[in-house]
Amino acid sequence: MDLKPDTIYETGLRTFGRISADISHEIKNALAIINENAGLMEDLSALADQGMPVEPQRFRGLAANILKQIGRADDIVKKMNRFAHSTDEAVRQVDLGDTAAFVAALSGRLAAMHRVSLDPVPPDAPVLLTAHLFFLETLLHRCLSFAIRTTEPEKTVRIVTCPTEIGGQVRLCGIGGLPHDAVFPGATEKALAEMLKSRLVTDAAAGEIRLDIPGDVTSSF
Amino acid sequence: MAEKVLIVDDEKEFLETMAERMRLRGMEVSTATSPTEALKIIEKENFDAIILDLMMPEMDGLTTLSKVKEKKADAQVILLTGHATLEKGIEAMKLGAMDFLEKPIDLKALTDKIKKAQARKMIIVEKRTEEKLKQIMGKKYW
Repeated sequence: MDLKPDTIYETGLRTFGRISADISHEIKNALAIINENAGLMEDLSALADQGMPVEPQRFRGLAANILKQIGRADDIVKKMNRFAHSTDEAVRQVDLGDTAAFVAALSGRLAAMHRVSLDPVPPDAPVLLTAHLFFLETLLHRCLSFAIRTTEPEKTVRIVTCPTEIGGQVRLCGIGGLPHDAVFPGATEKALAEMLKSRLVTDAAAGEIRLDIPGDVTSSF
Repeated sequence: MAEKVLIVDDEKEFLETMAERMRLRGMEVSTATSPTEALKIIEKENFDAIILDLMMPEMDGLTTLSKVKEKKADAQVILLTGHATLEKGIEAMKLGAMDFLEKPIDLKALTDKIKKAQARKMIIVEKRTEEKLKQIMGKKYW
């Protein structure tokens, strides 16, 4: 592969930026709803001060909405925190099914924008690997982004993880309209896969992208 | 005269709460949860201001803005966004947006912009009426 490590790190940085932008957008949406609900409480209180009767149930409903959005924002921040910690160590033990489900959660906003559903199917037992977590997340995110953009609206992309003889496999299934020519993986994805000692193939006939990862990053095919 | 406003956002809870707050301020508010729905409403009705979310499924805000302007050239569109970037703001203004606001919004600031939109719309309508009258007067031989 003739791509320099700098290019791979740049791809990682770009993915980090993309995901961070999506996360901040989601937080802003939650804050906007909290802002409107709190504002409505204020408006109704002002009307109550002027003598207009306001049902206590109304305030309870608005408070419940605020609590719901705080929960949503908290969940988003937890994801953001976990993702930020992906860069703590280069190589570490990774639960492949959990990582694939996490990347699917990080790609939720992109999927929603394209009206595509993501369905992570976890393995029966954890598939534990020794791998470079951040670059594995970067590669999975690039694969999912491609799958989301290629699939028709209202369809579902299933993310199936299973153990293999050499380590583990993630399959993105149900991708509609996969081109039969070699559009994906591109040079960047190939370089990332090579760095992870993994094999990345697109099966247009099956509508699948398959990523085979060794149990240990030090091993190879 | 009550300001007639259309709010377009896929976050239903945001949409409904903001609409209720604007109604409490005496505005006449319609809502749409998708660009397609909004474009259908715009075809049938005129609004003093259209509040449009920049990031929505189906169509992004800038494409929606262009389509709104195709249908109603004099529409006063205020774009809302979760992550405002200078480039998008400039692009929006070039496409004819009246203004660009970042979420969460200050309703007082938005209300002021809506009133400004209503005044601008009235000026445009008045000018158009004046031009039509001039054309009619020019053609008549009394």
